[in-house]
Amino acid sequence: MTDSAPPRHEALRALAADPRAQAAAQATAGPPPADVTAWLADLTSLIGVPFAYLVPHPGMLPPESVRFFVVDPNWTAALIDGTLSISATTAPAAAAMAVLRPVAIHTAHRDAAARAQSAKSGPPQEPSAAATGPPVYSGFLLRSAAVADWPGVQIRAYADSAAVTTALPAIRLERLAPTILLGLFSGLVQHVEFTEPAQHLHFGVNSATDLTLSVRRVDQNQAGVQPPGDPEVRAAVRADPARVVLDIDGTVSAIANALASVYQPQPPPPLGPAGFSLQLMQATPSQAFQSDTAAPGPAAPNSGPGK
Amino acid sequence: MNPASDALSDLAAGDQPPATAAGQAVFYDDIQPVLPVGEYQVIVQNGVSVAEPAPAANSPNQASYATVQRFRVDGPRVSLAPNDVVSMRPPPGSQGIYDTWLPHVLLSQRSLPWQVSINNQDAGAPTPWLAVLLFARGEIDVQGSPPAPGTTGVQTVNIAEYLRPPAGTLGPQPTTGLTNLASEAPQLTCKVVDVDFAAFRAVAPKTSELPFLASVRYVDASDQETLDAPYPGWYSLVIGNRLPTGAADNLYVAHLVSLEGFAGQLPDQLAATGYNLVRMVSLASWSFASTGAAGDFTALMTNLKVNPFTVPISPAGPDPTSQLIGHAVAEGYSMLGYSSRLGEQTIAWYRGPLQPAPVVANPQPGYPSAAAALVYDPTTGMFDVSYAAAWEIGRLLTLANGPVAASLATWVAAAAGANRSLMERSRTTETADFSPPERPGAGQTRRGVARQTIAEVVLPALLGKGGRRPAFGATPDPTRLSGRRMPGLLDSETLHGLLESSDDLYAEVRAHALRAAASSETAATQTEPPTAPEQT
Repeated sequence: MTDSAPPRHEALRALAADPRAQAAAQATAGPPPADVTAWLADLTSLIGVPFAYLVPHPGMLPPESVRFFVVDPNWTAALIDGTLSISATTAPAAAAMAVLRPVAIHTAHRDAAARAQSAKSGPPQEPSAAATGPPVYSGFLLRSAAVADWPGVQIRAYADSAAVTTALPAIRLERLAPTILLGLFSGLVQHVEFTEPAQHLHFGVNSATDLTLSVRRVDQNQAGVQPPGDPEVRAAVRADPARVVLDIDGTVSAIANALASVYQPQPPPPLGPAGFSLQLMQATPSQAFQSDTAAPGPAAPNSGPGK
Repeated sequence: MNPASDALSDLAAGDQPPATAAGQAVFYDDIQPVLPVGEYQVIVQNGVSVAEPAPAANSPNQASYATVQRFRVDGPRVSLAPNDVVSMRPPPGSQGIYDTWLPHVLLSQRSLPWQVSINNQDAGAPTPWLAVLLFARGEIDVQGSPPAPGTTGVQTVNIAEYLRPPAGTLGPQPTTGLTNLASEAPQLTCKVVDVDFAAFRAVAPKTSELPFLASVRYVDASDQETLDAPYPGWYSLVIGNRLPTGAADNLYVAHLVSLEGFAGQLPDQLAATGYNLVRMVSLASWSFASTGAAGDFTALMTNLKVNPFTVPISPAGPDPTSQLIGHAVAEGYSMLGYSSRLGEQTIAWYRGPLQPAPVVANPQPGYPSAAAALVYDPTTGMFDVSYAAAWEIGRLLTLANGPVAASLATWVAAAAGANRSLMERSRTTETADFSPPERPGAGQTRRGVARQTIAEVVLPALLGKGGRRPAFGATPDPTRLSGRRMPGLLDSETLHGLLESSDDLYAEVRAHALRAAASSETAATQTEPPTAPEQT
């Protein structure tokens, strides 16, 4: 059959390589449909990729561990190629796909970057990030009972180990399993802080023996701030030899008295349920981890291991 | 809890989330539902009066029309939806130094603690109907014995049984809502807990204390993992009043109970006599141990192990194999079983998208197949299937997503159509025209293009002109020897001529061969095919 190869394929291939023809085909096809772009942006942030593809060996993520990683842009590129391949069913479609592929990839990266930017904590990103090449994604996998027991752990990731820059925008903070949390950020993560979520700050007394509570301000501007000298009050308890049950009424009036002296000569703001829960709050310090992915690896892409 | 009543109850604080930075929290005393759970009626009255002209003597000059619409706002009276409870502290089933902790429950509906009235009063008084009661294991009764360690002692009874507990057990004062519920759905079951009467009196908050034990907070959740909640960032909170300390076995059970119908039994009221147990609806319950071993957030975080994201093997040894494997593992590779396409069972290198160290981007023109993305490692003779696996899972995931696959195909088809019409136009005109095709008015040109294509491409291809095989029918000369002069061989015409001219075939062939050898130079020039290439 070599002597009878249809010239049409050759012509199509040559046409697809012509920049003017590419422009014409792209103009006719227009930008990728929104659902395609969203799907590709999902894939660039590895949404939907089965867990076994992310962690091929169970020993890579043992219980009670945290692992830092950098996303391989070549892997996501191959993932996108596989996605686009489903429409390249005929030779003309394959030629057209070759023309549209850069557009699809560029839009997907732009979409993913826009998502990261819309995250409230993220700093504004320079728009050239998507234009210069695939974005750098990195993050961590956290496997711990804390993921299950403290839903909504607060996570800040920084691009420097001293955590002085603004936090990196989070692309994904998602529980993949009851005890496994995936954090994916735009940029190279060097330092991560885990904080007990604000809604889970636990409540109690400072000390089990003398049952003290720290007095905190309850006005709008300085709510939660401890006045100078860190005044404490003793929680009132019910007269019960077998149990330690707080006498809430008595404790509330003790705190109100202490607040009166904090705010004098002004009258203290009324102490309501919100102000009372503020006095019972026990803060947890955040835990910081340094990434070990800083040194660029010796791995050359597409060359196989052991080079 | 149906969605409609949920929305109604939450219109109260329908304001926007307060302006906060990530990690900040705003505290509220309470968020009252617009319509607390209960029975309602809407009365519409329409008065009509006729002023002019003066009415006849017997007809009234005024009329009044009224209609009454009754409705009920339903709520979580005896059970909560599974996602109503966000978390319970100390964590269920955990062990830790909790002797300074007040147990508490975080709820995802911000007005939930104020949706039900604890007595028959009209709602509106900001008294929560939920309370967290902490008991030592021995203070709870399950058919005469304390619950097994790790369980909370809840029993499932139907609602009638809850309203009429056995003798010696104190139940709720039936409220209108509970009575209606029992008469409408007598088979409805609820989870209850039986508690020692003295322990209940010792632990339950006083009426004046209840408001202080429930509050609302808004937390800026932009730096948290995404949680599925009806009002993201809004939580209501119910705190207990007892510290988990002093129990002999260190085992504690906390219950989120409904106080509906117990307004008269709280410790600031006179104690009822003749009871040794109290039966309450337990909306959520958990047990934990308050002991030495730390299980709190800080302890868990401190004990986390940070290591490179690699397979945890370290082949020691100076031999090249150990060196190579060690190197590959450090780069994030793992060895997985691999069924090659020839059916061979072998192993291959694989590493996922998550790498222990940054990898340089190496843009490729686009893999047309998974096999194209295979990387062969000549050192080990093994394949690196990482990118091939990525290609294949991308294809499979997208094939499974029908709508996206369809719109991707439509998009590509549009570009393919553009390519096709470009090619057709570049054949008809000498210079290629790459502007996008104008849709209307191109019919004349297209018809001409079609005719020309049929005449110049399709027909020759069908008829097998230009040295190609025809599309239809058997090839007239399968050996392709027709018309060719082979040295030392007789073509069919010469053979037929020799047969006709003489009877002695051998002599004729021999004579012919001698003649051919003599004129071999002339014959060599005549081995070209006689047919001239046609113009296309």
